Amino acid sequence: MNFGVMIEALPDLIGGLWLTLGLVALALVLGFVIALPTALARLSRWAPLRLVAWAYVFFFRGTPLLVQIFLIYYGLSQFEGIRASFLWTILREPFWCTLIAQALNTGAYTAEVFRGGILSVAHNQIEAARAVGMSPATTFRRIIWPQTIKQALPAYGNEMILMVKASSLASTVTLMDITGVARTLAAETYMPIEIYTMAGAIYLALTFAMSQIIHMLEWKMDVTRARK
Amino acid sequence: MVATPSAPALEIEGLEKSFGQIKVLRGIDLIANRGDVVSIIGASGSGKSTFLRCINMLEMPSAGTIRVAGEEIKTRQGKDGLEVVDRRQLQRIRSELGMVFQDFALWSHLSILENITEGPLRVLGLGRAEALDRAEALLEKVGLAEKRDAYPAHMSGGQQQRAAIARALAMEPQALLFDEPTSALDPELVGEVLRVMQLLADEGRTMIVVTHEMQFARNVSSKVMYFHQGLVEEEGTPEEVFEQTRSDRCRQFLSGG
Repeated sequence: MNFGVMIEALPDLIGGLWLTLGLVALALVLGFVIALPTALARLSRWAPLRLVAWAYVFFFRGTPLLVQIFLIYYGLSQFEGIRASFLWTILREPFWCTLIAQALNTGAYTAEVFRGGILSVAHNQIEAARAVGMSPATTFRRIIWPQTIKQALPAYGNEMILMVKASSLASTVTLMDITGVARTLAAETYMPIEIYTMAGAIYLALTFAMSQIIHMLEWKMDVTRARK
Repeated sequence: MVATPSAPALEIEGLEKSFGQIKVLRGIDLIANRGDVVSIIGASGSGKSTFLRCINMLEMPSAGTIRVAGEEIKTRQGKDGLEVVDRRQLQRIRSELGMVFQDFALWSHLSILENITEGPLRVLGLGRAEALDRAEALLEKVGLAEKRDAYPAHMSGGQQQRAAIARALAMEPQALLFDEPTSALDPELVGEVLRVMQLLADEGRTMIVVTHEMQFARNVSSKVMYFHQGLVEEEGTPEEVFEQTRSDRCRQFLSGG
């Protein structure tokens, strides 16, 4: 092991960290925004809405993220109409293509996590809300959702960590995230062990920090633990 | 059709409920004037809980009318029973009917105090200070002042049920609906809940109580209704129902047969 190379690689890899962080953060926010309505649509009484949500989840959960990135990045550019449209300013950029794929992918998984969480809320909780005269929207916001997120947090946290790791696929479409930088450095230095060990260490630090935050949130939300 | 002060707190006419082919309620009438305590007794499966749940339409009746303080809940005939015409009206009327469940059904993610302020804050639109004052006074009344910051999971069944009663009272309802409030409790915890209910009866609150507690029905109610197979088989004052029982079935039920 050449520790000198490892230390030298660090600033470059940290440079890639910002892209990874930006990609993951945006994908998680967008994924959340997609997941909540999708989960509700999956539970809708209206069959067409259920079907659309089901098909979306079916596709994005059932195909590899890498294929989804390639489909959006390489696939969509095949269409003359897209290249001519305003969408092209976004779809020609590997960053936005990766972000779209990641957001849609995590949105599908997270929708299932939320759906399970919503279904786990005891019926008497909802009935008590109806009995005091709460509207369905207030019932969801005040009673169902807080209990859903508490229930879903472990699985949701898991999905967040998976997203951090999956973001390394961005490197396949030329992005210089942690993995992208590492690939370049490894090719330049011929020292893949040193470089990828450092890259792995940065991912590990990232996922460790995330799991700690999630753990803390779980602890905060657990009102049944002994107090004081 | 606005609430009128002279109207009975609760007036139900011709209430029916079917689950598929099975007729669970076959035409029930009930009038509860202000301050009445109506106990509903009967074997399990007689329809008494279903009746109570139909009053605030947690269960949709198949037919019948319900008036709370003179205001009728607007319904129309749908293909399987009644349908609600005006969601908002139903929500408002529900807020005027405090319900106490067999399994307490306190919101598990909220503290006891928050359980009690939630309805006044989110449904009645009360200010925070007023909702808090109201909740604290009610916790005092049901003997749980020191439990205000506890969560339901940390309290005994009796404490939870008293908190649930406080939650219902916080809405200042026209009538309180109790669905077997002591049936899920350990025997030694029944008394503390019944004492709170006795207190409410003494305050002149209108209460409809589905119960297996015959002592309570006999000593506290102004009226007792005995349900059998979806019909009121016997009704009257506690003396009439318990001492001068007319129907054989009711007599058999009361003797524990």
